[in-house]
Amino acid sequence: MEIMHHLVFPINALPSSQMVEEGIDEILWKADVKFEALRRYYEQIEADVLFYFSDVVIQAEAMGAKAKYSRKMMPAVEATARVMSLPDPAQVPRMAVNANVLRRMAGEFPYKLRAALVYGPFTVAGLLAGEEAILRKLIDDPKEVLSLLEKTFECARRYALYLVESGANLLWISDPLAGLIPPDQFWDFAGNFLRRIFELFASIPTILHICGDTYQIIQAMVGTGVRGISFDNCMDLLAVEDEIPKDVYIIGNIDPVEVIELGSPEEIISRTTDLVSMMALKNNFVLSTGCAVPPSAPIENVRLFLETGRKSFADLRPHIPLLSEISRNVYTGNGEETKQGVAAALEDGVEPLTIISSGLTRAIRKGSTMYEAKSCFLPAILLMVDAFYKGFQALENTLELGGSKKSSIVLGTVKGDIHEIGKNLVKIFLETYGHRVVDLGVDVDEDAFIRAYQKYHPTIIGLSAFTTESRKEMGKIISAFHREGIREVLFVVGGAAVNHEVSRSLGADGYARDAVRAVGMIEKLLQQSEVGV
Amino acid sequence: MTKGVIRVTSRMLKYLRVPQDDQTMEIISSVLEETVGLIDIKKWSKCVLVDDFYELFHPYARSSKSISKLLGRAEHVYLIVVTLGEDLGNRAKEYFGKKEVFKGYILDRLGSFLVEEEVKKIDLEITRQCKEDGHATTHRYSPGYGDFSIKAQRTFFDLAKDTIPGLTISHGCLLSSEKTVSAIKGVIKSGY
Repeated sequence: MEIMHHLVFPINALPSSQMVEEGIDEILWKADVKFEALRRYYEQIEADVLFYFSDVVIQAEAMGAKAKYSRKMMPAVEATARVMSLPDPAQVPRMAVNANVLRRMAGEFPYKLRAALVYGPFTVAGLLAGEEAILRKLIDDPKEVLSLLEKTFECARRYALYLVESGANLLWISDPLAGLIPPDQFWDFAGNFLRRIFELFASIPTILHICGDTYQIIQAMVGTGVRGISFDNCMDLLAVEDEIPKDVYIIGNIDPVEVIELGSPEEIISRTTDLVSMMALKNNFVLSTGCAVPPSAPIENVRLFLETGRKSFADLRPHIPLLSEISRNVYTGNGEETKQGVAAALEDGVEPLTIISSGLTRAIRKGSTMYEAKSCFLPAILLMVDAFYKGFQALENTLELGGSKKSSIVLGTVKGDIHEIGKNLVKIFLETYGHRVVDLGVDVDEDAFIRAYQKYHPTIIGLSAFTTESRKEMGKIISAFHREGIREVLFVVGGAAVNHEVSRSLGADGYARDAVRAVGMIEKLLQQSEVGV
Repeated sequence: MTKGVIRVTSRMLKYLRVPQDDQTMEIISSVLEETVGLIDIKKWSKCVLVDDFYELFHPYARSSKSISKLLGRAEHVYLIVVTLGEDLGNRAKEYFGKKEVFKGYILDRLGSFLVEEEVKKIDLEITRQCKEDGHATTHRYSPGYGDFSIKAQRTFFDLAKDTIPGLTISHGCLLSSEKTVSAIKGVIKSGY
């Protein structure tokens, strides 16, 4: 288990194409060029797991599909296979290139994990027969699919063995198309084949990556016997952590495009630190990207991600037992124990902000994900919030006032309405996530909202309404801002009188049906506004 | 005015949706005890002829299709107002202010549960009485439901304010305290 403890790496090595003059089409066919690109890339970035620059079409092409190459893009299947063959990998030029590269990487980077990235039998079958066709055949002709899968399984097995014999010491299977199989058919058409492969490579670490939302197939993925599961960036790791046994790595899941390729340095640092601060308490967490980093991603961004991740782990590592205890006590609603835990952590020299993010807030976020998955009701989260505040009060004297707060948000129940419990809950949840919240109270008219905007310059204004009469005020308030020429602020709405449709008709930027979801929605809006989406 | 011992019931727990471990149950019991000390239940009800009802609640009753449908065969209409008083809501706010959110929330939910229970009692009593007299009743309906305007609460306020001192109404026509319910219930004479 210790072999991958708190490692940091990006998936695949596609940005290495920037290290040589040759295009991707040449890199894929020439061992010397590919190895040189990888050598330079991995000298510039300190990744813990190395990849050999793999592409999804290689197995399908070896079995008969026609691939299309270009200088700047990764290859794609141009035509499905007419005649299917089962190749000897050593006789397939591009597979031989990869084996050659892995042999040289073993010499150059002898102490690193070097991944044999192989594509899963279902994905390769989809490339051979056509993605839509294979998914249709799951219903129309499952026997034919199984027969094809036996062939793609054998190809994957041979290729994996060839790469491992050539210098790989970790087997990584990516099976992107398998995420499209209906969950009740996943085992028969993907899981069982993956299990057979992983069983053959039990002596080395094995990792499975399936793109997209895999909540419904997590148990089947674990059932393959794989030693690590790499999650897509669309997944919330706090929601899956309890589903994964302690001896299976949870790997993920920084967005490779929005954050690594397109993100600002500040965003890379903040997202990476945030993920590590949430997940480092799990001994089986490995920091990576949620999918392959694109070829055009700036290398300095990849390096910043790795450096930030490694530093975050190092900062947290000595304090993990104390932070875990705080988080556990908040999660179970034990306020007094939380307070004691915070005091002990302060005594141990843990930074107050670390106690908040990795101890107190982590539990609330986990609670929120459980709530969204309908695994608990609101009162259970409120018990956590109470425990959070017990711990937070023990910290208050140590925090610089306002210095650590995120963007400010103005909230109010609109004119004509006096209901406030929902708004109050939103305020409290936002505060537990570190936002500065200005609460204008109830029965608030458009002038008061405009004055508050001019005074606090919030990023978001939240309007609450309980009755159908008062919700008309929401539209008036939004229009009043537009009339005044104020368009920089985002409006979110909530309350019993509002739903998605009403929210859209009001011209609001966001809606959530309860306080827990409101925080998630607001966090997302803030992230989008930061990256200028 | 009713105030007595209120026990934690399974229906109440189902309504509150709380985790049922010992620690939580202890908090619930103490909040319930506190609630009983804070509530000041006041009720007002009156039975009027259906024509008088339409007159009193003009224009909101006549313009409401839901009300026309509900009272289509009714001869009389019961008007009901029940409130728990201000103290409960104020205490809930205090808890929120002190960041004891769970207690504040539970106090608020218990208020909603108990005011609804009181209205239900009146509802059942009216139904029982009417049945004894050989009449049927409609179900209960409140301003703010469907197309029965919340502004109809202004009439409830005018009618009940002398019996329920401290009852107030906002310019948005919400009765205060927040834990106040107003409702109507039609009586259909036998033979219809």
